[in-house]
Amino acid sequence: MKNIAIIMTVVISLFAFAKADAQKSNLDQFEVQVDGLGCPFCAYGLEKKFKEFKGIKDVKIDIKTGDFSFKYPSDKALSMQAVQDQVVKAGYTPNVSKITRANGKIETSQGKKEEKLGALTSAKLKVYGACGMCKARIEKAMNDMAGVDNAVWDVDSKMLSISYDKSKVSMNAINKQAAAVGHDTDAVKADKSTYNNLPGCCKYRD
Amino acid sequence: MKKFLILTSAFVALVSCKKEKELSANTTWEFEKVIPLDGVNPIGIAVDGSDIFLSDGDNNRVVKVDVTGNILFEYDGFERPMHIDFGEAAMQITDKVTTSMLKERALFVPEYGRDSIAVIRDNKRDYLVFKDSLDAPAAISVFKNEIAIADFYNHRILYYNGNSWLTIGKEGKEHGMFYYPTDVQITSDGIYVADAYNNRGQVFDKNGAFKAVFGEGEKMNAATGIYVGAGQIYLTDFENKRVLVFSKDYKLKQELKTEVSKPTDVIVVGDKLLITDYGTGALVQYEATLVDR
Repeated sequence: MKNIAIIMTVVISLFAFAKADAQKSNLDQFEVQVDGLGCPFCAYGLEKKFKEFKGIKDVKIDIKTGDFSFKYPSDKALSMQAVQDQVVKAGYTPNVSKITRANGKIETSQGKKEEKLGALTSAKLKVYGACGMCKARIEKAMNDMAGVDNAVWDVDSKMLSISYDKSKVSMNAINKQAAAVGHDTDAVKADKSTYNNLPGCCKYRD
Repeated sequence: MKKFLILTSAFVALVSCKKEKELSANTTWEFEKVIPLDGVNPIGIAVDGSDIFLSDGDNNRVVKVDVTGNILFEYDGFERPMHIDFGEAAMQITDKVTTSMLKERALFVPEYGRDSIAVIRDNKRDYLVFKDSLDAPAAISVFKNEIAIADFYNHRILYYNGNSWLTIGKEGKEHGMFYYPTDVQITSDGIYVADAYNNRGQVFDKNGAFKAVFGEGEKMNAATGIYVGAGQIYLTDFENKRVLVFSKDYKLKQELKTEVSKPTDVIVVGDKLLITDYGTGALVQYEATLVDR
């Protein structure tokens, strides 16, 4: 009788673990790079607004980089648009968003169309900024441009390494694109209102 | 007898000299030390006697620390506790089962993530009873029977004058409006607000009428915490790594920058000024140097 009880306990435990595992694998993973987070009030505010999504799990926010991630039951099929709308509702701007569905399918918010590029030119350009959030904003702005193959900005040196197709995009346009999202280059300055709208941690002018 | 009187006079004079420094509008502050906090990212600070209480939003707790920063006690289970305060306003409280009147001094803890104000006495936890609803309360101030709450996402201050609740402000940039208020303090002469993302402080009378604005010309970036002391007002400038000291007529008197990283709150205790530094997980202590007698 004692043995039967032990076996039953083991079987029930195995079922419980299996169920927990199944539930775990039935979660979609969301990663959003959020512009405008700078202080704990902002981070907790974003977290609070997302708690309106019942069943949300593993919410993580990095204030320094603006990286925000969470898990959500896949059967609720939470859409990219709903996530981005909720970020806006919390008072912030979503940059790049990525969803890894429980079935392995990946969705991203990067809307850049596939394009065929010709010969690529590599260049380095000084772009003024201050932090990880600046990095995300600058790289998104550049990588979204038609004719740009890849762009990486270094926080310490403030240098943007960019490869692009000269026949499709000019260096002047690249300078203007940086300024359009609030970041000065030596050739083009961001206008005052755009600069003033940057989050506090991104302010780089004296 | 004469000698005795002289000795007595000398003793009284000595004691008088050791009297606490009297702070005024002309007080200046000098950096004294950094008090590291082990695993605490402080947001709000309140003092009860010699005990220092800090809200630790990242870890959902309030901790009591000694003057060297050692944690003596912790209250956990909050949801993002913010700017805390001590007081003994006669308010209705509930433990979610029964409702009663608060009769003794308590620690008030705004829970940003739970839209509630916890009321702590010893180990008992109740909640303030509200008819209105909050959306991310960022701060509370208790002054006699009055209470003020910074209601972050509703861009307003809720003020209880001892008889009824009053709403002060709404979302906007104009004077008298707020853009994400994060801290508030009631004094005998008004209600002082850290209007965080309008990057300024504002003052209201107790009927809710706008009285003054200050700090607008100082290029502040996220005015997250406010404290009103003897003759001075202190406003934290979160992103610019400093605390600004204003006189009561709103003139900038001093800028405290040494060892300040991401200040969220400030308080004056005796002749010490304590700044909660969220960025470094520490208290930054300044000492009053120039004082008026």
